[in-house]
Amino acid sequence: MIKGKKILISLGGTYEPIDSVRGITNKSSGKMGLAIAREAYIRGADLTLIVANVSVEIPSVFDVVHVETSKEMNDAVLKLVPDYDIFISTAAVSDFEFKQKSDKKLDSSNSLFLDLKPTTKIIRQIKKINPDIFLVGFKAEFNISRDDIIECARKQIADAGTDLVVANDISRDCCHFGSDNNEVLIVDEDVLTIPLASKREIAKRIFDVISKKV
Amino acid sequence: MIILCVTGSIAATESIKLARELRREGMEVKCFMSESACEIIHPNAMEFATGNEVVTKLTGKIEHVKYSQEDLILVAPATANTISKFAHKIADNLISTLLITAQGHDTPIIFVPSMHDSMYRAIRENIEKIKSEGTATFIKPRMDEGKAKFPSKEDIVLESLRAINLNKKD
Repeated sequence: MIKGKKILISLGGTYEPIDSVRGITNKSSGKMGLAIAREAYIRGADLTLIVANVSVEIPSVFDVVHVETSKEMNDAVLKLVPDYDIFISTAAVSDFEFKQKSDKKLDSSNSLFLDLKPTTKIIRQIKKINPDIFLVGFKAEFNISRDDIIECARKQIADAGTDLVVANDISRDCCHFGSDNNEVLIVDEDVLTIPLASKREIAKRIFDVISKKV
Repeated sequence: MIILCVTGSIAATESIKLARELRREGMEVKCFMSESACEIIHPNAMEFATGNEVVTKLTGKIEHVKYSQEDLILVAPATANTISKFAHKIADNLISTLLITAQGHDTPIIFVPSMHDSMYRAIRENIEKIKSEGTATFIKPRMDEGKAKFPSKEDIVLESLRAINLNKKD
């Protein structure tokens, strides 16, 4: 039952500034996260969205926390997680951040070497802060076999205590970042294959699974 | 089924697309139009958009009773006149009559106010009265150019589908 549940959803791609005008980001559009938010809202959940860079318009009915960097995403998620029943992590969070940021615009006449360090894995901290939360992770892999995708999803379950992982292969034409459609596997102790469908339809299927488990 | 009540605001032109959006979500839509709404858009447009005959007057079929217990009564756009009449339970046309019949059955009602902002300010008390009674909810207009404008259709669709689910008995 989703009605009345407090649900936190992260979406979009984070942005790590190199200097005051440049940065590194990824091609996440926020479409899947928005489809999930929409479905949760329609089903009567109380929602908060943590929104990084997205290429979709966020309806004004949603409560939104805007973030930019993976650090801001991390802080916002960890602050809110204790108060929620379900956290659905659809955001594409940068795996790297810069050791040093320049607050000026870097001179472009010289070569530039960027020193990156891995960011904190947000998803691995969730269950430590709120062991009772129902945690849904997303796993985007590139051009690997179905068995390997399932393997990656199961690894996330083992590492982060995720209750459910939605996994897909973004190398496929139908299912790249920013696409309106997707083809996913919903992995827990079982594996449920959702064939090619709109992201809205996939959001419905995901909630059909979640609502049986919460 | 959603009963979409269209009243006499220029935003009635938006109701055509709104009806299409609601149907795209799998909802059946039946439209009631006030006399002044019919002076802004023709009922044929709403008949096309909903795929159903439009109710423009109450007849011996007692339409205000027949459609008072559907999933949702959505008044979009809702004029100052229609909102104020509902606040005081006046039933002098097909929509105001449907509204109080629906309220008696606890059918969810959503108003989407659209009017000049001076009118919006003038009827604030009536809106507050309805809110405090809990007999209907409002979707906040988009305040722009001194007008209480029609919100995005996506917001209306989301609030409508949510209201229907929240009202369902478990």
